Amino acid sequence: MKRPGPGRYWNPYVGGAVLGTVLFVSFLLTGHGLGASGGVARVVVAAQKVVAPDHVDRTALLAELGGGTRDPLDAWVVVGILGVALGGAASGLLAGRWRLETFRGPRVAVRTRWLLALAGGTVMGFAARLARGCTSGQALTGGATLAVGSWVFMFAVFAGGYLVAWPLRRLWK
Amino acid sequence: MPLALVPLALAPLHLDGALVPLLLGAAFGATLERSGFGDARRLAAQFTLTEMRVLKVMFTAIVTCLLWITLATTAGWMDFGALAVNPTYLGTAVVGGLLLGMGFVVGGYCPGTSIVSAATGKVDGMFFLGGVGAGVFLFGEAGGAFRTFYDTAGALGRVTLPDVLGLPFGVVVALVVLMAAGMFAGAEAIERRFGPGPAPADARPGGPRPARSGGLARAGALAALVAVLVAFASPAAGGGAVAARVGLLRPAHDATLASRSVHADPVEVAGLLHRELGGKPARFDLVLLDVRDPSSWNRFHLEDARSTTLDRLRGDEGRAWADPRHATSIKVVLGDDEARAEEAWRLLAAHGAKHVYVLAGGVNLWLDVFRDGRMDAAPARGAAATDTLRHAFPASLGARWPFARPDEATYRRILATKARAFAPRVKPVTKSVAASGGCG
Repeated sequence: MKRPGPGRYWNPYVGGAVLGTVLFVSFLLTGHGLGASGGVARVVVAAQKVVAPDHVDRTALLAELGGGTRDPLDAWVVVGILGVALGGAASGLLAGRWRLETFRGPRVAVRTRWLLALAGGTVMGFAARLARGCTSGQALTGGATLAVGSWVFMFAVFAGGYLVAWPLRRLWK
Repeated sequence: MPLALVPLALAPLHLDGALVPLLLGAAFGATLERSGFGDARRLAAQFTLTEMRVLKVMFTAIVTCLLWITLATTAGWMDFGALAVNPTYLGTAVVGGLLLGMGFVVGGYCPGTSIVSAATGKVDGMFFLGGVGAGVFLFGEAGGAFRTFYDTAGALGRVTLPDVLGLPFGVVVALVVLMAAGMFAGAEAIERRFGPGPAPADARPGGPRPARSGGLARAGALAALVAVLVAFASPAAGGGAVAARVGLLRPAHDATLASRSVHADPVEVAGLLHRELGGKPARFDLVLLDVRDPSSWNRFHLEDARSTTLDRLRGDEGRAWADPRHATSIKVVLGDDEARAEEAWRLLAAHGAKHVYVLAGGVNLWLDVFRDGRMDAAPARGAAATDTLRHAFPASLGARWPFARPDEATYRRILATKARAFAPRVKPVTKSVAASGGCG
């Protein structure tokens, strides 16, 4: 099947400058930065609330987001991740990069890759809730306001990655 | 209030309807996609050292945003103190960060990038995003077990690098720019050493950046140098916004203060104490802010006044009075004469506080009228206005003097005295819409 070749990515410094400007506009207009994992957490709590509202009310970490009359979806970060999906999809379509496929290292089978993505995602979802934010809401947003915890978090992320990168190098090389 | 304040609304604007976050999210998602963050291989390459894209985008973004914030706070159109700065929890930052970094290498994405990846049809991104959902579910169910650690380990609140380093905001920004420049130089060297050009086998045609980046690197270095100089020379950066705005608004404030349209006569302020506005009973919140030094305060102050300082009005307290919650209260600033009170007025106006007035002639004129009964007394001017308490008191009784709140009969008698006629300055407070509350 012949399809148009995907366009090239931006120079990373250009991408970073645009990203930093988007982040600044967010601060300017709303007073807060950007986020991702918080939105996923709220969607999950909303689903839990449908299935077991009493359980959400009685579990402190869930009740904070959706207990009682609180609507877990009533938050900017939920709308924000919807925007991320729409913006990402539009950008990918325009660049000819929208395609059903699996990105993986050369030595990893497709199904193995899926399981690894699921496992990595699970670890990261847990860690993002623990750290009160992920690379978006904690490292990027907090880093740009010079929050001490965010800088510690950012260097911990790189440290954690490099700690396991050598033993796991065959996943990607 | 001076009209000049209106077009100078102080950012952030707190626009949190549905549309603004949606558009910001879309811009965020599109930028991530264009930067190559929808592809796990390009992200994981950060950790196998073949491509330093993650570090470059991340730190360029942080530096760019920091420089914008430096510019905006220096110019006085953004208040850093009103931005949401992530509270610091060192314990969860370290443990969560380490786990997150490990998950990154295993799974190839982070939550935000996996949304972009899934939205562009990448099945691994969808599995990862499903995993994120499972992970946040697990934390919600099991996280309570280490609640104490979560809440208290290294919990420092809203604390920034300038706070802990004891350096001005602009200097820290300059240091971050320099550090980022050093990291970029290192990243380029690592890519030359380990990067086999187009790393993943089925990479897009054209490859990543070919070796044409010399000019860009030079331009970047020059920009970094300029940025360092600018940030270094910005004493007002980061939180100094109000000082800068006071300067910016000085001409407009000078005109307003010279017209004396915000100077309320002592009798008018006494009327406010009796809940009268423009000679008619009215309902409103009254805030009397006394900016005199403690010795003046202890000797005598108005009933229900609050003692504060210019420093406090410059910072959190001034910001609080500008909060929409206080938009409908009438605020009167009191000095011994007028100079310090006018400075307080400028600070509150720079914060965006509404309905702020200066007690004409200060506490000295108040005492001339209500203690000494000098109906024709006028505010001290020129060299006579020393902004110190000129009335002697045998004891420091604070607000327990009868003239701390003249009784209604006294007030009515003086109000009817021709010699004490004054132009009313305090405007009725219009019923304002309640501030939209409830964030998060």
